[in-house]
Amino acid sequence: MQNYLTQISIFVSIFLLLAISQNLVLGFGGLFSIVQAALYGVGAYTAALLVLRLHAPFPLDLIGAFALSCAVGAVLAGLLSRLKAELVIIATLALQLVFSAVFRNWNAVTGGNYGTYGIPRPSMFGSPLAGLAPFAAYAAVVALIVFAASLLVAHSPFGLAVRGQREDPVLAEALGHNGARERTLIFVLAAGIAGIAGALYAQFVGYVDPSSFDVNQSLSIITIVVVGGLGNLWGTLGAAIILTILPQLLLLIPATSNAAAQLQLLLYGLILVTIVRFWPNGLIPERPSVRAPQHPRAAPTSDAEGEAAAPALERLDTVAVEPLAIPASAVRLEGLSKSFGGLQAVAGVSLTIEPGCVTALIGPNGAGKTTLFNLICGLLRPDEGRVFFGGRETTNAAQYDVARLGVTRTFQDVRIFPQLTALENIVFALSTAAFAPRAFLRDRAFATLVDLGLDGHADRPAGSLSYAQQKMLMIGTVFARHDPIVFLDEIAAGLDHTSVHAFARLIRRLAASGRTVCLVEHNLGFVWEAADTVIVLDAGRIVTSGPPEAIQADPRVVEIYFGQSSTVVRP
Amino acid sequence: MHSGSTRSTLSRSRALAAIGGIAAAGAVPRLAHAQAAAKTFTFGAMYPMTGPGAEIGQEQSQGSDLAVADVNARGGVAGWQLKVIVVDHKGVAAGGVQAMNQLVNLEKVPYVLTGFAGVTLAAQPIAAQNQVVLVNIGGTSINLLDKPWLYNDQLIGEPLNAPIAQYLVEHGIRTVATLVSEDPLGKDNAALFIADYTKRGGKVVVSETFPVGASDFSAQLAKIRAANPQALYNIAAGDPQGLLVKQARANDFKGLFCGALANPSLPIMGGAAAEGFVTTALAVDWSSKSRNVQHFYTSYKAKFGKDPDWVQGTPYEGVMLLSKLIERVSRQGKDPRSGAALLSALEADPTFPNYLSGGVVTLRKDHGCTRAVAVSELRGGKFVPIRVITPQ
Amino acid sequence: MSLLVTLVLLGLTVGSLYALFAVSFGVIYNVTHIFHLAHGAVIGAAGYLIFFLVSRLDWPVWLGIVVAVPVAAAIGAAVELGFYRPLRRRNAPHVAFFLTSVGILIVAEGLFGTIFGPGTVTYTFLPLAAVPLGPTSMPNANLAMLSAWAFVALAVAYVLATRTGRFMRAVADTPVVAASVGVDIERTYLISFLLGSALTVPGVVLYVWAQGLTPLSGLNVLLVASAAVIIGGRTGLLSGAIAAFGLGIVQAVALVFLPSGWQDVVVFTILFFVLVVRPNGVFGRAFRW
Repeated sequence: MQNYLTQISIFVSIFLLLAISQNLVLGFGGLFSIVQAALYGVGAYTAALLVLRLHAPFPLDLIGAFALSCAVGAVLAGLLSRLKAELVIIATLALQLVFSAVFRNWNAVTGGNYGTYGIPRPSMFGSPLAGLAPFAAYAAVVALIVFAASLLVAHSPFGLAVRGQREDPVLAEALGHNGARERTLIFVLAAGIAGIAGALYAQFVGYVDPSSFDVNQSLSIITIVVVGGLGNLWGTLGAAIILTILPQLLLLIPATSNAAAQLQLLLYGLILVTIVRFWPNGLIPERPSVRAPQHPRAAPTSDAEGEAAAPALERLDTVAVEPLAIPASAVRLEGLSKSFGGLQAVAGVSLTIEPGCVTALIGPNGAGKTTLFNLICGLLRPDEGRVFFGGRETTNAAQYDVARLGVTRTFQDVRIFPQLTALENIVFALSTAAFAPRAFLRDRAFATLVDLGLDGHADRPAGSLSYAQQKMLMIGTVFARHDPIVFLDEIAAGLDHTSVHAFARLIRRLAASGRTVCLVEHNLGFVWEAADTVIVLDAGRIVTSGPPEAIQADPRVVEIYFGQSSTVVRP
Repeated sequence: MHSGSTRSTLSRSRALAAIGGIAAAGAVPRLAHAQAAAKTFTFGAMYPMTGPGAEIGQEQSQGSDLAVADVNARGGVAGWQLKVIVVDHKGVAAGGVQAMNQLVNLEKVPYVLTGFAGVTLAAQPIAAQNQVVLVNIGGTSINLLDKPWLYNDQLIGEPLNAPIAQYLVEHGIRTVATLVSEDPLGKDNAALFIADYTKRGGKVVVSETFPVGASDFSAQLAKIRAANPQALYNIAAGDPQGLLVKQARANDFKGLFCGALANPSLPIMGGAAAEGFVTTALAVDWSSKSRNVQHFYTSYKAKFGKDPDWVQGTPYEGVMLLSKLIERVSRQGKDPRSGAALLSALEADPTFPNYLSGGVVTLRKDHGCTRAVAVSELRGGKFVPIRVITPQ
Repeated sequence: MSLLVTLVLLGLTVGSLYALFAVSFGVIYNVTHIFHLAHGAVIGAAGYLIFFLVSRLDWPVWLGIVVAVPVAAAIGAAVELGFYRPLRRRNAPHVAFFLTSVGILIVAEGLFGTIFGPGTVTYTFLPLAAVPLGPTSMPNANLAMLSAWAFVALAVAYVLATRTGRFMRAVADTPVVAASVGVDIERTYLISFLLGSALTVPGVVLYVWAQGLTPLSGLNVLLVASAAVIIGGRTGLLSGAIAAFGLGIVQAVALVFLPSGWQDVVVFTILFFVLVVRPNGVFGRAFRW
């Protein structure tokens, strides 16, 4: 009985590794990849061949399996990176089937359906690991090392970055993260871990054949991850143990043992469907990678939802605006144009946004204001024209490159990372700046939350905050980053009268610090209060520009907004 | 002799067996006799009790269980009562490893019966490492030959295919196409058949394969029909064989079907299309005058109410082989619970009785076996032997 | 008759069957954008239901087939109403739909295996025979596969000519605009599921006639059908049908050059590269139903 359990523990170790690999890719990375079984196979065959053909000693077989699986993972990631999310599922399914067919048919290398057999146990300290218990110990050690390493990655800034790009790739890039590179890295890491699992399998069973690495195996691995919780490695550990032992229990029930294979399939499927139906993110939620610091405070400055809004807004006047270390640069546009199909969104826009003052872009819906922002900040590429930040051209730069020049940009709708906590949201925004120690980032992020009155919600998922709180959180990222150049898209949307005044004061303080501040706004009252220069856009072109007083009085502006024969409405 | 087990939970019978073993090693047979009634010889059997091939697992364990009961009813062998521990290998290689580990490390058996090529191949290194005699009573694959500690009470390769080649040539069939599954079963046997058939002057016009578990053979059959062979040699495990013959007829193939080890499901799945299929298998003859055959046949029929087949027969033989080895080793005064002792006894005299058609089974130098082969034809839904080839 | 021509003819028949399955999958996928792997469960259910009714309960063949149509449609609709719709309501992430679909497929596979066993079942009430065609011949089941185009035509006609069909096209193209002009999105989705699931029945009858049915058949068919839909470009039914047709021919012809085990590799490598190089499919957005 003891040996029976020991054997099971070896398979638990192997499936734990596979499930970790899948969770990193799916739960953390948000990549719907189901090619893990193929990578498992790559690791197994590699280890087998290294030992049988090249007589590689332990641990070279393990390392070789890891390395080759990483390499294959890198190639696949490169190919997959061009694909939209929904297509990644299908593409990896196709890859899984291709790999299965290659394993079955490439007789010279894999032995085809004959399999590759006679793989000896690894030799450690001079003698082969023939016994069951020693091998189980070895497998457990490997699994635990990988598990610990994965926890480290999960809680690292890299782990946070990966989760952020999963939530909202566009926002992550706007905050300076190269999402594609992060996805590739996590995919490669996951591939390597699957390869290690394969090596363990080859070393233990001594016989490798294609049937262990097919699409059904991929689906079993996914079930483990889903049960344990996407993005939660401890959950994965528990689920791996339970779901490896469960089928064994089926064998003990005499009535079912004959149809056990089919019933096991049924059971797995039912578990998967039930859990996804009621708990789409798995039984156990994600754990945040960073928590609010524990130092004792008097009562938190905010508690229940509604109350946070009002006092927080008053705090806007006391939020610190950091002085600039280096002067902000001007942003210059030359002849920028962009069309979508037949629609000309922006046509030949040239302007300069000066530092030290607030520039506001106004215009009716569809005038091209947000498109202009997107062109400047790198979310879109212009058809014509150029963009300069200071003297530096950034016309075709990616969002993250622009962000790293010291640009913070907000989006029209309230855009935060819903499954990350409020604290994690700010830490994320901070973590591209430089290589700063975690504690430092956490404290600075927490300080921002305190400033905004959100510190009581620091460890709550941002998605559970109210609209106003999420808006404050967005503002928080702007202030935490201290960037010299700030682009705010409809920051005043949805705010009441008092808040609008408070915001306007805040914006003016930002500009007063020497920063380059540019707004897109619909709330004209806000614009008149906050802006130094107002630029009016209509149908993608600049109609006029000037100080607020001049624009308010300009009949063309009135006409654009309200049609002919209307009078200006002053706030 | 097994290295001293320090298990604190030795059962009474084991303790006595251990004492008996130590005494025997001291070459004092009288002491062994005195303990005779309490000695149990434990061996292992790995069958597919679940997963692919589970129906076969049931049948196989019937055979070995029956043999154990028969031997014990006669008073055991050399004072030993037999006991078999059956473990499920689930039809997959990994399951074979787990099962073998359980038998060798936990139960510490010196002798194991098994079937299924992949499972056996995975288990064999463990047998070799631990000096356990492994006997294959089911799987057929060239890779099962020439492996230390593994012996095959199953026809492999040439004995199954040469008779078919001979039959075809005798009946004036000069052109053949092969269509086999892409696994050791299909490809090994096809290669051997082609070698033998061409040596006899026949011509293989087309050689095709299909992926294991495929159910659509129309493209391969189109190629085959274009070459217009007189016979079609095919090998497929399981139901696909029946589908294959049906589709072949639907593709206007009018010739003869043949192939080693035809599936029991062939008449059911293939229906009328399968009629006339010529195949080879271990010869089975319940009308034989051999005492052994009759004993096995009546014993099985009495207990299970139907005729046995080679599937139950070979495990039965595997147990009988074991009992013969135990007897030999005990006569030399050694403890038979040693795999090494059993192996030398086997090598000294590698024959044992054939319980399916009479005569003996001889284990060869390549660890395959020589035994009577039957060439059968499918008539009216049943395989009817048309020729039996007995070894000299 | 040259071998190549014979193989191409065979490929035409198999391709026609693939085309029908591609259309049945495409109707659902193009409109709802859900990668409905559970469609394989519907295919299997239809196949086993007909087997059960005709072979075990001795119903007349035509009745078994006729009954299977609404039952298959109902199963597809049940998946949509019981699983996908609630997930949509909760704004569940994309992966949840996929996992649900996979789970249902696995449950179905296990269920079929438990009830009918893991082996192959055949429609013995549809015997296989050779049909002479001049210098060559073809199995009757393969010849019958050409009738699949009749059902493809029906589906395309429905989508082009009826009001609901127009709604389906609108939702497939731009759901937001369709919703804003008052199309009932949920109802349109439901009808796609009903139609797509019903279309599996003629396909599965033709398939099982030729090849028999196992618990894995649904998945195998689905993989090729969905590959074809993606390769063809996901905005039109005909593009998927033509891509499927092409795959059938490519698979058959590949046998001249490659050992049979590599056929899978051919189909799915094509799929993968189409995805990477031309994610909008071979026909891109050119086809409009």
